Amino acid sequence: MKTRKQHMMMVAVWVTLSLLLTANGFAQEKFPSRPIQFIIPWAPGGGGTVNAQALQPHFEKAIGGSVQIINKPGGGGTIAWNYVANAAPDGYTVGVTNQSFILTQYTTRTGVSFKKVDPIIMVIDMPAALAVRTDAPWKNFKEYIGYAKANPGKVQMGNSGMGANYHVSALGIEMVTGVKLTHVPFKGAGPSITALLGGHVDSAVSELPTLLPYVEGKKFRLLVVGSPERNPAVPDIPTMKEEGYEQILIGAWYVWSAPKGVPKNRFQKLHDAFKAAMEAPEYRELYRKLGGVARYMGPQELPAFYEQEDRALKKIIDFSGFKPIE
Amino acid sequence: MEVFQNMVTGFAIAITPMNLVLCLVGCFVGTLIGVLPGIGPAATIALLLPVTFNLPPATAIIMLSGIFYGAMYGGSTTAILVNIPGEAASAITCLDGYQMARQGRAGPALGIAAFGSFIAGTFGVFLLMLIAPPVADMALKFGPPEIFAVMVLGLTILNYLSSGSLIKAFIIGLIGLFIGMIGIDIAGIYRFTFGIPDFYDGIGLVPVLMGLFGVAEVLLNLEQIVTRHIFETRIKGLLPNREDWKRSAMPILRGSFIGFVMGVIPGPSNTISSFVSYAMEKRLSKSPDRFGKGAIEGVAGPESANNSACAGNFIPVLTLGIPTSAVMAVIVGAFIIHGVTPGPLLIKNNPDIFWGTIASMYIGNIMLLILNLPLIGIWVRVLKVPYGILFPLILLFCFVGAYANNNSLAELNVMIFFGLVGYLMKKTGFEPAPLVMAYILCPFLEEAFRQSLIKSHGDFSIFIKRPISATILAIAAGIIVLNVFSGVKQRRKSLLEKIKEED
Amino acid sequence: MNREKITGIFLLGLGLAVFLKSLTYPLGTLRRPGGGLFPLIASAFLMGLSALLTLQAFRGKEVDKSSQSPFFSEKEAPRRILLGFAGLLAYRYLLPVIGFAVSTAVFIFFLSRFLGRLSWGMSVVFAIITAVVSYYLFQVWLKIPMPMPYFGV
Repeated sequence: MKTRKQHMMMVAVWVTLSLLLTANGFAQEKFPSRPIQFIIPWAPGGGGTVNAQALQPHFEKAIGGSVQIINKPGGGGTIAWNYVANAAPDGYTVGVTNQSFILTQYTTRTGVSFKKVDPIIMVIDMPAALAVRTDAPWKNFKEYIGYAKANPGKVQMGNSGMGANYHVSALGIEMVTGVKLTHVPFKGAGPSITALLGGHVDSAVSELPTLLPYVEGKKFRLLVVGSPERNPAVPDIPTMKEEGYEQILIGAWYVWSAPKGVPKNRFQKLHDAFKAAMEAPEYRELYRKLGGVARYMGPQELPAFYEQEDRALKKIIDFSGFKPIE
Repeated sequence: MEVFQNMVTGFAIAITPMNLVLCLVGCFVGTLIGVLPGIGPAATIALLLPVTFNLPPATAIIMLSGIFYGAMYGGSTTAILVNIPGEAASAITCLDGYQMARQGRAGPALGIAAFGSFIAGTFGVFLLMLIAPPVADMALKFGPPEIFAVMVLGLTILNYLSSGSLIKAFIIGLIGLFIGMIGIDIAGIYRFTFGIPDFYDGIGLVPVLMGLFGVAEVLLNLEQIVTRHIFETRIKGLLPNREDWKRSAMPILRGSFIGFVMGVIPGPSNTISSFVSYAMEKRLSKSPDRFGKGAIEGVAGPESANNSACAGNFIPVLTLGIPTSAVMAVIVGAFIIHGVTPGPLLIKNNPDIFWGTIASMYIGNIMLLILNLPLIGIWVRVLKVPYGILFPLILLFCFVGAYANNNSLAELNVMIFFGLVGYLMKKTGFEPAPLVMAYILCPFLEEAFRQSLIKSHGDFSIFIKRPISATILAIAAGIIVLNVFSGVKQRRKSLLEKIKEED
Repeated sequence: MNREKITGIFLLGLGLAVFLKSLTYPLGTLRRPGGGLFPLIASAFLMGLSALLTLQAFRGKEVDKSSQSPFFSEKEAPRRILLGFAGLLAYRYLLPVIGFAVSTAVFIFFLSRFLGRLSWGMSVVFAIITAVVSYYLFQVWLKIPMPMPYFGV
């Protein structure tokens, strides 16, 4: 026979348990009530982390909460993107995507389709350029292509990894100019630049922020930029179109995305906070010096943008016959 | 002299109160995370970067650099006390340092590690100050074939890293190579991953170290009734005595030099330099059998090497803006975020940052010595805690370290697995150091090999045609020949003795 | 079958397994080495060396002193090792289910009681103190994102 006291105890336990279990269900809580996780698919110190860190202080102020930058490197970025796509759509997880995000569907077995995430905002567009050393025999793009055409396979192009963004860009150059290069893979952008510096490869493609210090230091010469217009940081460098070739977009854009299904009001809050952050003068100044363009694109245009990038990149992938092997 | 002028400016910047305080903070935090495994300097610097946003760039860099070389001081502490390397570079310190602790000599081990680190660190900064630009240029010449040669050199010293049989050292080294091949390779295919996404970039170094050194050691000790004392209770002195110093002087000197030179080379140079120093000391020692049983040279040399390697690491960053390791990449990121572009023009555009950082590294080393010496007394007391309470904490430590490394539960499985492996290895006469060395080298070895062949279109002579790689490979060949020679000599000697006996 | 022989055979088998798996990866040519080449060469070496080791074991030659001491130093040892393992695995699999703080408490309790010979009371106290301190040190102060259980603690 259970006494009153025991009954009360049981009720108390049940109530406590149900409160604990449903605590998460209280949607009335203020957003954000805990740190928002910025998931970066690469190791700390790289462009993605720098971008997150540049946005962080202003974002936190705008949204009234705190940010936790978490690096989840690996698998060419797919570990992080899988994590974001499968995360709870409660607005507390966002991740940064770039061209590799679109590419990894085709180059790896673990890539995530861009349709699985909701893009929030584009915060930066960093055009890339083709660089050679200042003591190289080619003074401009024409000479470079001319030599490469006459000597197929002789010109060495370093890249940041097979199937990575700039490798595909180099393949794109091959596609539109008809030359054949030798692609030497490195683990990441840093080593490929170092290799160019040391003379171990003849050329490399990388984004302007990375290349500019060496251009200013008279170590590198840029031959062509990968954006549709000339870049204000390097106004003398022509675009591919000016050189007479079909323009392929070479560069790195960062689009912050969230898993599909985040409630509308939270999604809007995230978007507005990002927008405020990218309009902050410190953010603009930082990237102005680096040659990046704080180009904005919102959630209305982004899905179409993803599609457009997907088409362009897929064209190059099909041309090169690149297939994931496991 | 110009350098002297610049250093005066540098010191003027380094000794402003704010920079001094933040240098101390950096060193302190660095030591702390060096002690905590799994939370490495790279992650910490990235974590603390936002904190530095409102500080002037020079101050930020000073603090963040302090975290880096502070971690090198702290990493040896747990290696000596509980056989868990706080940093990969301290893995080799476990071999003799931990044995010294078991013999009640943890104090001298920690002491010589601190002093050696200080001497080597200061030496490294001194060289950094004087010969940074030409050394940086030399570092650039290390392309794929040269890196391959350096890795091969690392492999030839495998047998010095173990006190067991030669065959077993090489077998375990080969196994280390295999583990290093798990994950994506440079052509983009995934090897040996069994479909587990967490392994796509390899199984992680920290879980392997935690398992092989930490967990395995605990399991071995658990065999005995745990109320028995694992550590010799009579503490024999807190600091190195004269004998210790006599033995350690040359190792420290040699280690400083090796570390600095290797620190400039891209790749896992800090770790390799400590292993190379160990091998060198064992080779040069008059009584190599003491190694692995608590020889202080086995602590002095490697710890000095990995600290002067830190100074070497900074050279490519400060003179060319290129990072040679993950930690340096984060520091470069820190530069960028503060609006300073690292690159060939850094010394011209921001001389205050350049010379201020170098000057603060001198100060930082002194701070670290002063910080670490009194701690020795405390650390030694930790060992007096009954093992029954100590070992659960050690295991907890390993778990947190392995998990925090990549926020991956799969890596915990790796750690437990390698705990078992390490345990079995100890029981069957295999040592962990060659495995660790081969594991660390493998990705670089293979990548450099394949890159070189891609560059040369399949021509193997590329390794011999280039002067630097040819020289290094020659040295490696020389070491192998030396080994075979002394092996033959040994065999002949024992054969002669046998014949004499039978007479 | 002594220890050395078993070890040698096991390693031989391991080498063979890796060798066979490497064959499934593109070998490429010596000019453009593929992913399978390196593991292939390395596993070939492994098989060779382990064959040598096994041979020496069968001929009774002792490679080193390790096989002289008994495998388990004490009678109770196998039980303790198994317990230790069970504890490690349990902790690992409890973490995502009940979270860091509680799992740690259970883990420490289990180890200190059953392997550390602490009394029941002391084990509980030790476990709770450690769990609370670790929670604050690692999860709150150092902000390491620990595995979160279903009900967010």
